[in-house]
Amino acid sequence: MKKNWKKAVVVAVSCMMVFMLAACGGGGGSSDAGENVLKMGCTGPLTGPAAIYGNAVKNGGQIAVDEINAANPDGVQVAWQVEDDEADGEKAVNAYNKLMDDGMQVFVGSVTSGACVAVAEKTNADRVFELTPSASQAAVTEGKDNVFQLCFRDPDQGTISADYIVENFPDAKVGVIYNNASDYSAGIYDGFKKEMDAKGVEIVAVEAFADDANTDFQAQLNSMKNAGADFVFLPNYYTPVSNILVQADKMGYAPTFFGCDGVDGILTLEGFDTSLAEGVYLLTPFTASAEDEKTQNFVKAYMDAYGEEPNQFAADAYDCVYACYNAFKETGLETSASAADICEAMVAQFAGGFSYEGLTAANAMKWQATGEVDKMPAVYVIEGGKYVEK
Amino acid sequence: MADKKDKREELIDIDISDSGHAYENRQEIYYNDNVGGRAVFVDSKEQYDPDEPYNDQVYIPEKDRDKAPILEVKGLGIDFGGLTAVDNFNLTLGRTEIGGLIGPNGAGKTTIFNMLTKVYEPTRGEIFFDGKSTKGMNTVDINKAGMARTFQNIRLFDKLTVEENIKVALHHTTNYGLIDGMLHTPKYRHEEFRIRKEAMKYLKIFGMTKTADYRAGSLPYGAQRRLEIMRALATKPKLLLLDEPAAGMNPSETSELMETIKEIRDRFQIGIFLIEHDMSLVMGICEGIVVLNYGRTIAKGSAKDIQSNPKVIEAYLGKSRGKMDEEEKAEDLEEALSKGKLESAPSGKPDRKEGE
Amino acid sequence: MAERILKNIRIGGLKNAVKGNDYRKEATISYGILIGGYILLQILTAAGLIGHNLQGQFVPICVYISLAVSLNLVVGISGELSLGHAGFMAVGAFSGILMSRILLQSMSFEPAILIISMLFGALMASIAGFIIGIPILGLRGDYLAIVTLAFGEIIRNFMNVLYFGFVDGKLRFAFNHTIEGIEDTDRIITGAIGATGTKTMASFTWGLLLCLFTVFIVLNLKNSKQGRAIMSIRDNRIAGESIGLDVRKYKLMAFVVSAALAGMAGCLFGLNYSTLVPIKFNFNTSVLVLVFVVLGGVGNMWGGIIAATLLTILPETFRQFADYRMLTYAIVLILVMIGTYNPAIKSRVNALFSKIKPKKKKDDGKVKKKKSGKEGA
Repeated sequence: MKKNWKKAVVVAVSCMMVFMLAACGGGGGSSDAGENVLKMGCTGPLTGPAAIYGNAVKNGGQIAVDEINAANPDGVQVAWQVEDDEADGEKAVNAYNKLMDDGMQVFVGSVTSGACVAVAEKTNADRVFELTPSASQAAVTEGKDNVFQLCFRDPDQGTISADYIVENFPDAKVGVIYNNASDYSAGIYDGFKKEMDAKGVEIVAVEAFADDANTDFQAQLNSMKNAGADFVFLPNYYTPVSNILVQADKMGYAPTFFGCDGVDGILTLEGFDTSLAEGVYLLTPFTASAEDEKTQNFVKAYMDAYGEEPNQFAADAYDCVYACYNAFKETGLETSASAADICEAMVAQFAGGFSYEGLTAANAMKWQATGEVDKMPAVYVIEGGKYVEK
Repeated sequence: MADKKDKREELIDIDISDSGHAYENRQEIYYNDNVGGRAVFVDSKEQYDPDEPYNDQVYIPEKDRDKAPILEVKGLGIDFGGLTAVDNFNLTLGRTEIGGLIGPNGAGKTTIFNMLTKVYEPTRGEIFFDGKSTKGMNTVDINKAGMARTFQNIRLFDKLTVEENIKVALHHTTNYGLIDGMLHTPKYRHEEFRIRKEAMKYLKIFGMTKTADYRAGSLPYGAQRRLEIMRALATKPKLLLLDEPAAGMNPSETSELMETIKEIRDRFQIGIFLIEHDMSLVMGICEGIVVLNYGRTIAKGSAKDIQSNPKVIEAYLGKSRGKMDEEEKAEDLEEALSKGKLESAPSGKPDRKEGE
Repeated sequence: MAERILKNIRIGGLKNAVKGNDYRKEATISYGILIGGYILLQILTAAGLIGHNLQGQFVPICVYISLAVSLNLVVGISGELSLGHAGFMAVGAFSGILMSRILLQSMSFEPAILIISMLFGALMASIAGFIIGIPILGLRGDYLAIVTLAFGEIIRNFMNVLYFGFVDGKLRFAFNHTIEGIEDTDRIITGAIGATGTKTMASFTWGLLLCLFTVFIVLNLKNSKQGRAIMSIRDNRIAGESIGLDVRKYKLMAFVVSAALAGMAGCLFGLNYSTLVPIKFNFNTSVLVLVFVVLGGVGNMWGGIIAATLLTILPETFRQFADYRMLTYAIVLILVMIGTYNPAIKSRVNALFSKIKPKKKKDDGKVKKKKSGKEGA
């Protein structure tokens, strides 16, 4: 008996030592008092299949932070820390807690919706201001006064797409191919269907798939073709869309394709024949080929730093950092203020008519007290290998 | 730790002279002519002629003739994809008989065991166990009906302890449910204590109390054989099938085993049917012996009958020897049997592995 | 002695014999680790020595421990490879969340809601385990593993098309489309978006209770007639049948109990986050739990407890490696696996341990040395 206890104790203690190590590792980066730094943090998928979005946010945010810090070396500086969450709620909460251990004051995240909803619960309890660049679910802000979105909500994208299609293509026979295992895709489809039903327009065919890694869309495309759809709505990310375009071309099926912001980036996809994307419509708040000066500067800085064109996520993050920075300055608080104080002041700002003109909207963005953003997206069509605004 | 040890001692010291075995209370089922319309049980010795080839006639020891036989097999046969492994096997085994099944390698002995315990479903023939046909039963039902066996290549629950191996065999007499098992209710404690005592009783009978806490798979060979027999006995069978119980044992171990088998029969009053190549064991303890060749029964009788049966001599010593005079034959067979030549006896067919 | 049939086995004959499983020891170590770890962490937390990051992992660690222990029932005790454990976790999680939302309509006492939800999750998961188990438990080995994998994915995909919510205070559900007339805040489960708006109720203490309960059930079951039947079928199926054990029944029993415990753990996991997406319960999660079991030693409960704890914390401690975090994790995992199962390394560790160990118990040490020597050879 005695020996058993000893063994148990030895094991428990060695176990605890590892715990302690972990705890020490977590608490390593405590804040340096005295410096005039506002600590912003973000969690996003830096590894795994969604890593492209997390890394875009990380890089886009970094551009904004570098600009801010270079512009006023004596004023408020911004620190930018992004932790990996693998687009998973559990990991995101861990990553968020790590940021809290490191003294984060403003949370600019999370990148993906599922992860963001889980984290938003925590920021709400901890009283940390949260502005997400790209988590588009309604549930992200629901019931949480401290959480705001910079992107459109998924169903709103569907609604706006439906409005646009009904208005501009009144005679179209509309079909939909969407990923029913993706919250993004399913969310847009929900909004789309609702709006189409409300407008009394029939969707002639709906086909679903369950994995963005899916490469065979013959069945779905055949179903579209057989239903006589001449207009196919694709509320998906660009990987499945590129496969759909390739296979539709092979089948000789050429309806008008219409995508959402997830399709942005398709022109830079490696190994994809961009000529197949000719004539594809997409509804997106941002595109790197926009002509205005702000966008051009951002794209140039991003190209210089990371060697690739920024996508919408990068622009969202850029806007988020600036919006938070501007709002913080308007609150008049010192950077030594606690996260909770900053939170209350920022919430008052965002809910109280604060506006920001950024890359990802045609107008100045404003926020509702519920956390939703008011901004106008633009519809583009791919012509000659470029996005051309409609 | 201390009180735990005491408990174990207490268990070891239990009195086993009164075995308290369930068999004492078992109601004997007497023979009934009308069951399944079987051939009439032959009772009189006069009808048995050792020189006649075995057919419907039966031999069982004198003492078991007032009771129905425990096992009757009629015309049992099995084909494996066109190959007839066993054909027209007949057997009647007395209620407390120690029967032996011998025959050259590949004669189909283990196949017969596997049919009796329904590891294989027979192609033809009928098995009546304890007066009931075993048609439609599976291995589990057969055991529940009261037939237990050991295996040619020992099959123990290697990672369980010796004690647990026996407790598993006591499974059906352990009286508690899943919920009791998961929550360790008082009922569980009570029953576990009871079966532990019972398991220790078996261990004591077989002189293995000291091995109780060891893994079955790590025991020496002889102990594993003992344990397998104990495990089979713990399911409280009416008939025990032993598949080569003396395999791998030295002569002194074998003679010890012979005593054991007799003891088991006397103590538990059950039938025992065994396959064995060691002729000293078979001739020494088996009251009835069945000889099998090419999957067919060629004789059944007492040890003496078998030794003088020309068919047996032919099977074991080859046809050419069949022409020798009686005395020579008997001598040769005796020699062959005592030297244990049987395993390499000429059998015409290439040796075939006896699958389980 | 007339009663004794055979001479006693000589002790010399047991020189190479190995002692069997000591249930009391196994239970003592398992409970010791759980309770000791809990107390220590609570003290450290109270002293402010533990950061948010680690504190946030307490509940998931407990959940993974109980998943590892429950999977060990199938893998270690029943001896079948199951690759669909996350599926049962999903069933438990979503049905538990559903139950908690329904109860919240009329109750406000959280512990009661949590317990009822967990029991409901366990019930639903055990039903799923039963339905899946019946057709597949006739299969063996690799075939069974592949089919469990498929069923795990089926469960997850089923969750992808499941919609639950309240319309005017009444529970409604639908397949593969939004419920008509539902308000956003009344949604409980929305297909691929998963469960949202869950009221989080889980805490470290509940996590500990879950672990203790799981270990209690599994260890008790192991040391009962049902557990012995399950283990004997694992060791020798034919011999098991020959002593009258119904193979399917006991394999199914292990499978269903394991599923129920996984469902319970899944429910606590679900109630720890305000949102839960079905994709969380994909093949990766099943494999992760299997890795805990294998690393901790198949059939070894407290090994699984430690493995689950360490492997849950490990990726978090590697955050400083930034981009190379998951790579580092994978490499460490491979090294640990090789290290734990390399006989040479193992025998050295054993030798080291036998030196450190107090030499009071001589026979025990002998057995250990023998074992390590054999493995080293």
